[in-house]
Amino acid sequence: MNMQREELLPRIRRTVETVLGHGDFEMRDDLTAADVEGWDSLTHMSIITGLEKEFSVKFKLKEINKLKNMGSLIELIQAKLAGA
Amino acid sequence: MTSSTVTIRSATLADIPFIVETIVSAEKSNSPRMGLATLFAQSEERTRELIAAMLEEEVDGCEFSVSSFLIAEVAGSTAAALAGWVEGQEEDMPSGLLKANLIGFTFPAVSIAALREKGPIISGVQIEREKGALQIEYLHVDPMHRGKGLAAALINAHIGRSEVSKAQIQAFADNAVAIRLYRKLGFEETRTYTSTHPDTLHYLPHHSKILMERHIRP
Repeated sequence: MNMQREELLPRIRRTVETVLGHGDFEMRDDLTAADVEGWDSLTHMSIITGLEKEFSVKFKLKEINKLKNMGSLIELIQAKLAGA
Repeated sequence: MTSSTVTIRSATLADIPFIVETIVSAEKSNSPRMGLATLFAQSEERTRELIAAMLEEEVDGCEFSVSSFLIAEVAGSTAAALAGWVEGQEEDMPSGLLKANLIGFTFPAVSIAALREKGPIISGVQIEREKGALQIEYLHVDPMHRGKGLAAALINAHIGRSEVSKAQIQAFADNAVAIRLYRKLGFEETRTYTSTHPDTLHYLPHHSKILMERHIRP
């Protein structure tokens, strides 16, 4: 499956919003957890598991430990959905 | 016992059982409650297995990293351990997220759901770590080897190995012995964090945590 970035963004955003309880952030590539109110070590676990559920994928530990920002998260999900 | 019999060395995977004991002991902080078990709805025995599993992943840069730990040996026997790492140095990631990834990867989904419910209980004592500062965490000295200066030796060893300007350490506010030791080693209390949630003491050793800092060099 080669899902386009435009299709992914709203679903990622919705998952993050559901965990954090607000949508006060922009879905830009250089967005980091530190930029988003409430995105801390506690909510991070729920965001990652929420994304795995939303996209029916399973991240490897090494993959999520290298996520620098929203851009790299989007790329990772695209790669996972493409079967990489 | 003379100091010449004390050796400080980096931990290896073979030290995981002692490091698990260290983490459990430090998490309990002289109480029967271990946050890693209570907050994640797991038994203490199962939590010990999960901590070992996290350590075996060999992720660097957080408190569940074997590479963060120094071990003190007395006459060849493992006697004490202490973690220390420079915040944000590994993959440019905050240690909190590395830790969260490890927990999320290792603990069952039911634990993550349990933690999500209990988030408000512990959010008050979540202390943000300063990027670039040496973080000192999870100190444990085997009861047989207390009073030999091993804790101070380990803290000084971490500071001596780092090239940063500041060290930070956190302690539950009722851990008077540890706080006294940290003061003696030049740490000063900079802020107290308190959870006002009424259920806090069902899950954590104390409702307040103190952040202490020491400036190492300009």
